[in-house]
Amino acid sequence: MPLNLQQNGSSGARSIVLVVLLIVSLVLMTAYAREGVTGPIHSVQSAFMGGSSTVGSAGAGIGTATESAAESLSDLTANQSTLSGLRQQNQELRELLSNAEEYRQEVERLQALLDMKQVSGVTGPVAHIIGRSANAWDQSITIDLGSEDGVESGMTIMGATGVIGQVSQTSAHSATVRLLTDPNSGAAVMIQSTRDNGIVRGSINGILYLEDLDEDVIPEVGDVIITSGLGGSYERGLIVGAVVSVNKTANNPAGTIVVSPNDSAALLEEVIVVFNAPDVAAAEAAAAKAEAEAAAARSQEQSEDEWYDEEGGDEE
Amino acid sequence: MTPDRIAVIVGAVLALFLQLVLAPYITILSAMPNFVVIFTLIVAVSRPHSFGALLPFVLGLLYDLLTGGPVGVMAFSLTAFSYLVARLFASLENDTLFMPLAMMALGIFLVELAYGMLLTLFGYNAGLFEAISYRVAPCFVYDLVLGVILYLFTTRFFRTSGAIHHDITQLR
Repeated sequence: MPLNLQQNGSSGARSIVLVVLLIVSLVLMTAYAREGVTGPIHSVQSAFMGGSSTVGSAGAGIGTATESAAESLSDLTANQSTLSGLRQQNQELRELLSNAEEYRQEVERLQALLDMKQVSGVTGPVAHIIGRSANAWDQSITIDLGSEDGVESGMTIMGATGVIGQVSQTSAHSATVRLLTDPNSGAAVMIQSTRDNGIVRGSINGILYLEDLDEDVIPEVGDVIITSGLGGSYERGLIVGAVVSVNKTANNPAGTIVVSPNDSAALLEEVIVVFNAPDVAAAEAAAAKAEAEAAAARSQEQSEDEWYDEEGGDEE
Repeated sequence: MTPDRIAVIVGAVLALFLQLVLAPYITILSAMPNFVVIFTLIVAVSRPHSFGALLPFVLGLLYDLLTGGPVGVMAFSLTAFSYLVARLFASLENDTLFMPLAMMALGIFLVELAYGMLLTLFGYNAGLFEAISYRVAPCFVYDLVLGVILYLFTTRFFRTSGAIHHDITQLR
């Protein structure tokens, strides 16, 4: 096979451009890795992503728009006789039914989120998911609330059954949420029943692993995992998921523990941005105080009963 | 501005648009197509002699900025390996149907592999084997299938507009 390796003047200039652009890429990579999330390159990226979220959200409407356009075209090219009143009425009814079903599903989803807010006691607005990661390596979503709505990097995001991720970048009217299942995600957690601390980490295959438990701690399948609030990355006391598989034993302390994620992000359409979580420590202290008072009351009642019994015995 | 250049710019904008709007919704398991890589490699093997480093750099940089990956990683991978494939293909002087497809496959694989390796180097929390088996390989296969289909379509378009003919004439 012949090889033509001759270079002319323009290809020499192209090689110089190539080298310069590769160096620029390397410089950008290094600067991006070294700077914080508030650095200039991250800020430019946030601005670009904020702009692209508008394009991304348009994607959701493309299917509907295409369908409507096809229907309109079909109507235009159809015979006048085929556009009878009955058909039109049928079409309207189908549209109404479709809209009603859409509203019903939305109400169900919002009710589930409202229930979660009441149960967990968190406060914060509900955001719509307007985009998903366009990069195979990231597991993230884009929501329609941004810094102008009070959303900040690091805020916890919840679905209808618990924590699903954390805000990683914000622009004025949108924010990117890194899901818990992303390999670069990690949340300080504890086992609700035993209060043992660990870390839940995402992975490239989308599975959540519970790691960094003490060697002698072996959770059981079904144990509920909640955020511990350590490190301040996630609000404390919110449900992360439940243990579904334990490969760790006394002889195999390095075994894996798999946690089921709360919600499949692919099915979510709305999420809660957690502005404030309930003061779990205060609630726990209050509960402990109430329990101590109840125990004291019970103890006093018991001692009074015993005294009456003794008094009654003496009289007899 | 020549019609060829306009066609390339329109194609680049379309590739970015498809990446943002369509790609997230047509994932198969963990594989998501990368229209930016596919388009750049198609241009690299369709017009190997006039292919420069600016197009892949700009497209790679926009991809990094718009999709939230580390800025510069796709710009570097796409610039280095699409340029390499274009030069290699130009030097082979083989205009059968198989060779551009093989070169495109090589380019897609190298770009996906380099992107994955650089990500792990810059802190992506996955081992190299995992990265290859869960992302590089599935994405490569998906990109290749779409790339072959789009290449056959665009080759017909370029032939009718004379871009490839013009390119080969420049060579000789």
